[in-house]
Amino acid sequence: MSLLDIIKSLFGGDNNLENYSSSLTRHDLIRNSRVLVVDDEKIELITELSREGFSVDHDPSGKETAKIEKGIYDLVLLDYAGVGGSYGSEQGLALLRHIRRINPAVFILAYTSKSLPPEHSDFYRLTDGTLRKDAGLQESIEKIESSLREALNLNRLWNAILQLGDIPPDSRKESELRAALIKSLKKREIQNIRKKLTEVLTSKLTDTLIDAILKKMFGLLI
Amino acid sequence: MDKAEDIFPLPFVNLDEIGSPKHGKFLPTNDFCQKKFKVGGTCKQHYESLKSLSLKNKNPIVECPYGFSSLICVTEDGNYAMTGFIPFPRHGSIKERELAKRYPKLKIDSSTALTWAETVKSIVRSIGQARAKAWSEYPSALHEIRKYNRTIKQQAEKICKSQSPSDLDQADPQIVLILKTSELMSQQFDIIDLIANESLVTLKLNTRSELNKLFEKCAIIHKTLAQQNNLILNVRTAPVAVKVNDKTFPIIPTVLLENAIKYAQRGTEIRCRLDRISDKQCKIAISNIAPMAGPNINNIFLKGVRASRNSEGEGIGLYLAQLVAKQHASEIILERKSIGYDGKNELFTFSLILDTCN
Repeated sequence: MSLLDIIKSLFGGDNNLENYSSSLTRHDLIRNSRVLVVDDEKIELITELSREGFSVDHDPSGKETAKIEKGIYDLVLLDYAGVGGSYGSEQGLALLRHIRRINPAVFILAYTSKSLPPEHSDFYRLTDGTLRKDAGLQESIEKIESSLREALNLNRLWNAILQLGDIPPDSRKESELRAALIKSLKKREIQNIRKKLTEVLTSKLTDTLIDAILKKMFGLLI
Repeated sequence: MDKAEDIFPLPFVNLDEIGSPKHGKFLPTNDFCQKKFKVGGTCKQHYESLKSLSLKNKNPIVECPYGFSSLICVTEDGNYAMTGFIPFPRHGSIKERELAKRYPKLKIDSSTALTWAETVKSIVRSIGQARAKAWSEYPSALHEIRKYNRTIKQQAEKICKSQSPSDLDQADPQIVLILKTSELMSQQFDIIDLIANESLVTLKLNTRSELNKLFEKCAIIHKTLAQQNNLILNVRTAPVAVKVNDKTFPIIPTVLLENAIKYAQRGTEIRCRLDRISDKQCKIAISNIAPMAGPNINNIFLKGVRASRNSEGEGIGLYLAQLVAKQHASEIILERKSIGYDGKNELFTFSLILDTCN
């Protein structure tokens, strides 16, 4: 153990997941992330993102949620009108609620040109941020990049796992799991934490997603 | 029809901004009132006293010291007095009797005057309701326009980028102007979004924003507008990051800068400053030089209050900006300082302090 590790463990810094990841270069960010645009029209931004090297898919209706559930995407750009009709009359908001249920890790940007009435404000409340629909291409790409940096954050990803397992943050159980995670991160052995989580989590439904999240976390290691 | 002032049948005075009586739709202001208002402060004192009566929400017909009468009319658009008439039944003073002989056409039945006042109030109320309905419904109609705006902006951006990849501002000035105008439109749409749904100011702070970049961008967008008004935009920012709500926060620099441009004395300088004032705080300050403000300035952050009745707008920008400032645990403060020797201009500074996150 290095002197720095000893100091960190003495002051609790060892528990901070941020210490185990580095800031991604733009190249790595683009290479390691996947974006889904849920919009009833094929927007220019999709072409522009592809040109910049991003892996980006387009879902014109919001019916393709299976990949979101599997944790394939890091960021969803979500329109309000014309999508998510199969989830309820609140269109994009109904779809948003569904996505939040099936994948708490994915970063969602509200992307609508509609002025939403107060009763639909949850569209902004439940998303992680907003991208103006009439934003310029450069502004849009910058926003997506900064959002992806937030999406690919160890603490955020870990909190999503806790949410999937109904584990309260700062609980004893969480503390034990975090210790196991850190041990795994240090040894770069994903199997240990995966096994530990499987013991704790009962739902098989979330296994694939947790696996995907863990892979992302280990992919972010220094 | 825009406001109460357009519909008074009798000459009237705005009790919130007391001035010489203005013409009514049925009766113009008489020469007697016009002359008397200019000499001494008797008329002004009379209207001041009506103003205090209006706060009690009464509707009395009050005789002025010269013998004419005024009728207080408290509307949703402000406090007014219809004035310069002789009521029937009369108050009975000698001065009133003399004026009645001199101005027989200005005799109005008291009950008629009261009915007119009620009618004005009712029309103003209806206009207010119609406006509120329009505000609630037309934002959704702007949905398509916003999409067209995106097309315009992105195409302009592409052309600028092809002409000058490293600095879009150096591209064809006409295309740059289109790009900036489109950005101004986006900012207006954001304001309309907030008008349609004030509850957005309860959204949590979700993004780390590099405030200096936001400010510089806002200044670049407004630069042309400032130049068109013969104003110099002087911007100086320190690198500061703040946790903001990305939906609402950009409204603050937009509104402050737009107002600074709208009211500034032509040929002067508008200063935009973003300074780090401590390890944990930064200060935004936007100053302009503008003509002396009327009494409305004291209520400038209230909904529907405009700095000047001669200016365009609904008096909603600063109200919303203040709501957004409060959402960010801050408050916009207005400081005024008189400048020059003629006392005609003031230095206005709108500022707010925010907690930083770097």
